[in-house]
Parts: sequence; structure tokens; C-alpha cells
Amino acid sequence: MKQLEATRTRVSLVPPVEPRPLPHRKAAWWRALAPYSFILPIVVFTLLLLAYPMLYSLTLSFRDATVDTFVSGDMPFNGFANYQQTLSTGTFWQALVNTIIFTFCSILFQFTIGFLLALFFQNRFPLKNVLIALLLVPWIAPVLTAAYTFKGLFNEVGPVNQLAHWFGIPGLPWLALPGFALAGTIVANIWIGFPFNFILLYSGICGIPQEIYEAARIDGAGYWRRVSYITLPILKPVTVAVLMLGTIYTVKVFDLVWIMTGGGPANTSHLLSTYAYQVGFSLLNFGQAAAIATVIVLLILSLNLFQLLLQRK
Amino acid sequence: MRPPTFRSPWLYTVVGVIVTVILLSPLYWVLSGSLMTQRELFSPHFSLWPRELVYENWTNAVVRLWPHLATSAIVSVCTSALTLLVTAPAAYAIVWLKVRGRGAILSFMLTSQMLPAIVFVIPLFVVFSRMNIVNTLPGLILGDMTFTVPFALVMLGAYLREFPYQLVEAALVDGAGQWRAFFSIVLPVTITGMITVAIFSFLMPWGDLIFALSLITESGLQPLTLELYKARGALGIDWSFLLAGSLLTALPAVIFVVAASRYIVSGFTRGALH
Amino acid sequence: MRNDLPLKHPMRKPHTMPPNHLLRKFPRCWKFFVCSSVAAVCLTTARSETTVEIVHYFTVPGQIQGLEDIQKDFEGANPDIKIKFTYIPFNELLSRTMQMAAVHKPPAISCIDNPDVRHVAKSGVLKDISASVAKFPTWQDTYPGPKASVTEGTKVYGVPIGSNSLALFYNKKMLTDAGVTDPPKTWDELKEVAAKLTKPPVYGLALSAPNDEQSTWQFEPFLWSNGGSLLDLTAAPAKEALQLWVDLLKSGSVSKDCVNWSQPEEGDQFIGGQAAMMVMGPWMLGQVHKSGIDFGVAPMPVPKEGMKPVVPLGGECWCVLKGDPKVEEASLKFIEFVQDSARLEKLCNTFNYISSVRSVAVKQGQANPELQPFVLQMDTARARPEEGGAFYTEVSLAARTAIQQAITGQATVDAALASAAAKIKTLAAKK
Repeated sequence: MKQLEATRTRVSLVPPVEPRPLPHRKAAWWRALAPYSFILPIVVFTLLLLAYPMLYSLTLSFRDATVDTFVSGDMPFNGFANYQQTLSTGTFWQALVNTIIFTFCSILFQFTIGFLLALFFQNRFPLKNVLIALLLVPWIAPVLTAAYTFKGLFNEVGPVNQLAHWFGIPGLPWLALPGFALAGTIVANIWIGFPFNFILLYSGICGIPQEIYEAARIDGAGYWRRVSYITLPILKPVTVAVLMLGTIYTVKVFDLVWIMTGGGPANTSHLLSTYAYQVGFSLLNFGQAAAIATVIVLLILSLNLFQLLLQRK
Repeated sequence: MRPPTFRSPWLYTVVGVIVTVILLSPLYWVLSGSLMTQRELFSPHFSLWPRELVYENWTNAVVRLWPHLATSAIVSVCTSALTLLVTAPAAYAIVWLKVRGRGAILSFMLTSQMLPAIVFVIPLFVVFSRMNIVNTLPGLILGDMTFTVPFALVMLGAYLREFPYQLVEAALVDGAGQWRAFFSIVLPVTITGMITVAIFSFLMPWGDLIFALSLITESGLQPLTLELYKARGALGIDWSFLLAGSLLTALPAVIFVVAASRYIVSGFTRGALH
Repeated sequence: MRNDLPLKHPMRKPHTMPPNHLLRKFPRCWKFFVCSSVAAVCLTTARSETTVEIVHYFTVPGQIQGLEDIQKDFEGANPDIKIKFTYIPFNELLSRTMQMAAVHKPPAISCIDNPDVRHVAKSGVLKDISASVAKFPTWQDTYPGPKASVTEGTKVYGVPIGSNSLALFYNKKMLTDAGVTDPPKTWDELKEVAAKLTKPPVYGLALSAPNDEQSTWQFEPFLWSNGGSLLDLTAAPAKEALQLWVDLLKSGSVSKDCVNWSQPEEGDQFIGGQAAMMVMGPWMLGQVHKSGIDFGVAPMPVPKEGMKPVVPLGGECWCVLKGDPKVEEASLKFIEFVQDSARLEKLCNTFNYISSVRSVAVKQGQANPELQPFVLQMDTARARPEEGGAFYTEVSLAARTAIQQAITGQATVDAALASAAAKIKTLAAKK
């Protein structure tokens, strides 16, 4: 890998080949700026549509933005008051812990299942395309449906308890018990999210040239050896990207938990996202909701940094 | 293609089907429920299959959802195409052309994704109001791009980085320009990644609810997800519509993926060696 | 290399104009299109027409039909006013209304749920319509409960569309099968009958106690009929009411999943035959009828014989938002139009609401025996913001946390209510 890095830095910026080359004066100027023309549309997009909402949310978190002040527009700055109020509420800390547990468990299982599936589908066999498309359905289907489906499955007289009866285990009101409610939402989230990991990892593995595997086979390396010494290292950029995006999307999960438990019972299965919603849309305190959102951002940032550090090992 | 460990490829199919059935088992409830009356759905007698198939659920759902199919399709296709157009050159520039500020752009993109959508949507609504594109399809497309573009940038960057640069190096030494190298060597091999990103950039707006909810109130312009959301009324849940409608909304997306995934397979077999 | 060519030479241009004739003509066609569409837009807006945009969250097809009928009648009588109904999902109505007001594009009318009216009025987006409303003949005849929910001092911020509350729905067949002749009237009878009717997997009673307003809403009839108040949760009446719920769940008469059921889901349980009784409002009558269940409606059970049930008031209100004076005027015209007794009765019947106007409600009760329990309860029905005013939402949040903690066994009744009462005290201090 180091060799590749070295060769990359040696490449100079070669100007695009023009059918009719321009005079030398223009060429130098064009040469220097050409790469920036690649990123121009994205920079404009970012400034207009991404930067403004982020700044707005950040400033909102420092303002007293409730029913009284939001509409008139003069939401007075109240410093860290929103943050203080948030950090002193017990529900917030519970939500924070819940979010971390939720994210960790979801990603662990989603990634593992997705990776194993990605490996399996490397083989060519009939109906492969159809099965891949079908396995995407949990991700494509509306979250609303998945939420109600799992809610019904975990019902006190629902299928999960019926299965448990057959095995002689007493049924539980899963979603009505403090610890189990969160577990139920984690199971549902794993179901929804594994296709995302599966397909992205699958494409990543597809891009690995076969010759490398051939060479290893000739050397006598077994299947799992090949996977750990060839697939995983080459896949690293994709793995990092999938894990990072997965973390971001999982921390933001909202609909699923809101419909399954509403953050209950008694606020024990709140995630930061559902808590922010309750504060912002039920209590109409937009300033505090923005503060919680900022905390979410900080949490994800630290989780991602943590992952990157682990990868550097 | 790795030579199969099993002698017959059909063994893989069998395993694949079993795994798929297990993983998709919760959908069985959706399917059978969509053919039941509401009363039977909640009857205390747990039945594996509806007593009588209520086809009206499906026909009603089709009638209700059909007008919105075009909207969803247009928004998803445009978002996907525009995302790829904007992001592909940027990913290329960031990974290989080492443009200055690439770190800032990537981190900014990622951080923007960390804001919960609900909070994101309020200022977006304000901006779009001033630009007068609320309740328009271009507005919704732009709104959806706020989550597809960062996703695409990160994933395309990863797929491009995975590609062994030595092949491009070799071509450059032989005298080809950057663009020729890109089109004839990089693109065919990374086409898998590009198509995958395109597929997800299609699927994400297809299933999006929050942005559509905030940016579109005209019932004529509502995508499928919004119409389906109406099943969850304040006074009652229309289960027949919800269940049948969910399967119906997923169907076009599945067909699209089947069609597009053929490209993934064929793109892969083109390989890197000539 | 041809850089010796003059600047304007066509060979120097990187792109050449396609020789296609149509494309060359296109620029002109394009300009024509733009001009004609601009002209069309100008022409349509030139007609002086006032559009009244009404945002709501009604999804039941019967309700939509009722609204459309009123729209047709009104537009027929007032050709220069157009009504536009915009659907916004239940959870988002309030925040969206405020967002629209914040960007100076407010809707004309917003159908706000009555406990929220006074809270939203604090933001200043609602117009004080006390002057106009005093002239409505039906205003004097409005029940005190609904009137209180839209009145802040001398100011009036909305007109109730209709009201609803809670009563006891019961499955007649299941009752007779268990040998019960009459629906329960007191709490003790309720416990007894619910236990008798519980035959797994069927539960005797269904409640809705999710982590939102619906919990408090379903609990209030029990709390208030016992003389309790949300502002005094550590008093005996509140404890007794909560204890009733805890007992019902502990004995297995009510499913423990009720902490996750919204009222629609609770209704599904009753309709599917998984619950013999349920605490529900009149809006569910349509669906229950459709399911074909032989059912009846009884007033809410009271703590002891002879007491009167005190139920909370539901129902949305037409609230006029401040904006263009012409639009405000048109909105008020619309509201006045709807308040006509005959139209009001028709609308409330389609919505399965009880009219907030006494004379109309009485007529409804006489015509439909299933609505009669609700009508009888209207006299003592209470508007929720009477407890907490603009802080009602936060009071409710504290209360339902206590309710959920107690019925899931996380805390004892006393402990749960004590912590809720403490939270509510800090709120009162803020006022």
C-alpha cells in the first residue's frame, strides 16, 4: 500500500487533452484551476444547502426559541441555557446511553450479516440477481411498515411469544418492559439495515481483481485465509466508509423507535433523536431541540473518530 | 468469478433461497395481512393465511397510489442522475487530483449528515421558501440531494481509493491523458461502485418521508411515501392500505434494482486485465 | 496548432452550433413559451379571488367528504372565495403552522386541537376573533367546556369544530356470553366485569397509554371523576385512579402492550375481538360499525354509585391566523357559514363528533343512541388546559411518565406520582 501512495504523489497534474490547444498564457491558468472545476458544483451545493442549515441549527441551539419567540423571529440569545437544561434532564442521559447501545449493537450485527452475505453472493448461480433485489426489500420498504410489523411480532400475543411457547419459554410483553423495549427496536433496526451493508460491501468485493485471489490459491491459501489477508485489507476504504455512514444513519434513526415504543415505556427507550423530536415538536421548544441535535452531532463525531482510531491500529 | 466450491451452482441457489426466506420472514406478515380484512388481522386466532383473500385491499391501494408513482419516479431518477453528475468528478478530484480543501469538504459533508433530518428540515424550509421552490419538484430534488450527495461522495471516494492506481500510472506513462485514463481504465472497473451509488441515490429519495413531508403540501405533487403515510391517520390506521401499499411502493424499486444489478454483474466480468 | 486564427473564427470555438434547423429555431420558441406562461399566470391572478387555505390532519374518507361538501356549498354561496384544504400529518400540524407563519406565508385557518389553542395563541400568530364571534347566534349556546379551551381572558382564539370525549364501548355478545347483563357503572364493577371477560388471548378491557398525550387523555376521566386534578397528583383521588389502572393491568384484564398502543391501535384490538371493552371516543364509531360487531356505548364508569363522570374534551378548532385582512375576513365568513345549525349537525355527524353547540348536540343524541352517552357527559366535560393553561403539554408529559412507570411496575403509585408532582411544581414556579 505504501508503494501505491508513493506513486500517487508523483503524478503531476496533466491538463486535459484539448482538440485545439489554447495559447500558453491560458494553459498555465487553466492547468492550475482545472481540478477545482471538478469540485465547483459540489462546493456551491455545500455552501447553499448544507452550510446554512448547519449554522442555523447551531445558532438556534443558543437561542430561546419556543412558541412565544419563534414566529416573531426575535429569538433572544440565552447562551448555554438550552444545553444546561438538556444536560440536567435525566431522560437525556438515558437517551444518550440508549443511543450508544442501539448504535453499537445494530452496526455489529448489520455489518456481520451484510459481510457474510456479500461473500456468499460472490459466487455465480442462477437467480442471483433476483435474490439480491429481494434482499434489499427490508431497506426499501417504508420504515412505517417495518415498525408496525415488528410491533405486531413482539405483541404480547404475537408470533414471537407464540414461538417462545412452542419452545417452552414464557412469553414476555417485550415492548412494554424497560430493557426489552430497546432490544426490540434494535432487532427491527438490524433487519432494516443489513441490506445497506450487504450491497455496498458486495460491490466493494466485486471490484477486487481476480488475479490476486488466483495467486493466493496457487500458493495454497484456504478460503478464509484469502478473505482475511486479501479481501479485508483491500476493502478497507469501503469498510471504513460503510461503518462511518452506518453509524451516522443509525444514530439518526427516528421513525422506527417512535412508532414502536414512542420512547417509552416511561421514557426508557428514548433515543436522542426521539427525545429531540419530543422536545421540539410536542413541547415546541425548538431551541432545546437544536441543542440536542448538536449533541447528536458531537456524539457521532466522537464515535467516528473512535472508529478511525481503531482502524489505524 | 471464483470457481464454485460446490459442484453445481444450483446448490448455492438453494442456500441463497433459504437464507433469503429466513431473513425476509417478517414480510410474510405484511403479505398475508394485506389480504385480510382489518377485523381478521387483529382477531385473537392466529392464522397463517387469510380465510378469504381480500383483493380489494390491493385494487384500492393501486388506485390510490397510481397518481403518485410518476412523482416518485421523477424525483428519484433526477436525484440519482444529478447526484452522480455532481459527485463523480468531485470524488475523482478529491481522491487523486489532491485538490486543496478536500479534507474540509469531506468533513463538512459528513458532519452535515450527522444532523437529524427533523432539525435539518426547518432551516431548509426557510431557505426554500425564500427561493420560492417549496411545493415544487425541483425543490424536493434539491432537498433529497442534501443527503444523497454526501453519501455518494463518501462511497465513490472509497470505491475509487480501492482501485489500484498502478494501472492508471501505467497508462499515463504510455502517453494517455487523465481523462482518457479515467474513461477507458478507471470507469469500467469502478462501474460497479458507480452503479451501486446510483442505485442507492435512487432508493433513498424513493423511501424518503421527512423531506417530502416538509417541502411538499400539494397533494398532487406528493410522492408515494407521503400518500402511504396518510394510512396513519389521527383517528385510525388504515391497515389494508398500509400493508398492500407498502408492498406496492417497494415493487418498482425492486424491479429497478433487478434491472440495474445486471450491470453490476456484467461490469464486474469485464475485469481489469486486457 | 491553429492559434494564429482570429478570435471570432468559428474554427476556434470548442463547440460548434449543431446544424439542426429546429434547434436554431428553438431559442425563439422558448421565448414564446415563457412569455405566454407568464401572461397566463398574470391573467389568472388578475381575477380578484381570495383563497382561504385550511390546514388540517383529517384522513378518514368520511371526514374528507364532509369537508368537501361544505367547501362546495360555501363556494357556491360565495363565488369570490376559494377554499383550499391542505393535509398535514397530525404530529406536524402545530410546528408546520408556526413555520409557515414564521416565513410570512401563514395558512388562513388552522384546525388546531383544542388543548393546544391557548399555547399557540401565546406566539401571537392567532387572531383574536372575540368581536366577530360574539355575533354568532351559536356562540352563546356553546358548552362551557369547549368555550373555555379557546378563551384566554376576554380574547377568543378559535371556534370549536366539534367536540368528542371518552366513553365505554362494550362487545354485547361477549358480555352476554359471560353472563353479564349490563355494562359496568362503577369502578368495582369495571374490575369485576373485566376480569370475567378476560379469556386469553382475549382481554377484558383495552386502554391506550402510549408515551404521548393519549395516555393522559385516557386517564383523565378516571382522575377527574374521582375529584382529582393533574395539578395535585399526590392527593388521594389521583392515587386511587392510578391504582385502578395498576390493578387492572396486574390482574391481566388489560394487556401490558397498552403502553405502546395509540388509540387507533387500541380500537383495532376491540374490532378484532381481542378486547371485550374499550375506553374510546365517538370518532371510532364509523369503523366499529363497519366491522359488524354488535356493540354498545355506555358512560364512563364512576368511582362510586351516584357520582357523575367528568371527561376531557377533544376536538379541533377553526383558528384564524393573522395575515392579509381580506383573507381573515373570508375565513371568518367561512366559519360563520359552518356554524349554521343544520350544517353543523351534518358536519358533526360525518365526523362522528358531538357538536359543541348544545342545541345541535341534543338533537344528535336524540337521533343516534350511541352518541347519547357522550352528549350527556358534555355538561360536565372539562377542557384540558384548565389544568396548567399554556403549560398543559408539559404537565401532561410529567403525568404520563408517572402513569407508564406505575403500570409497567417500574415504580410504585406513590413514588411515580410524587416525582411527577415535583416536576409540575417547578413548572408552576416558572409561570
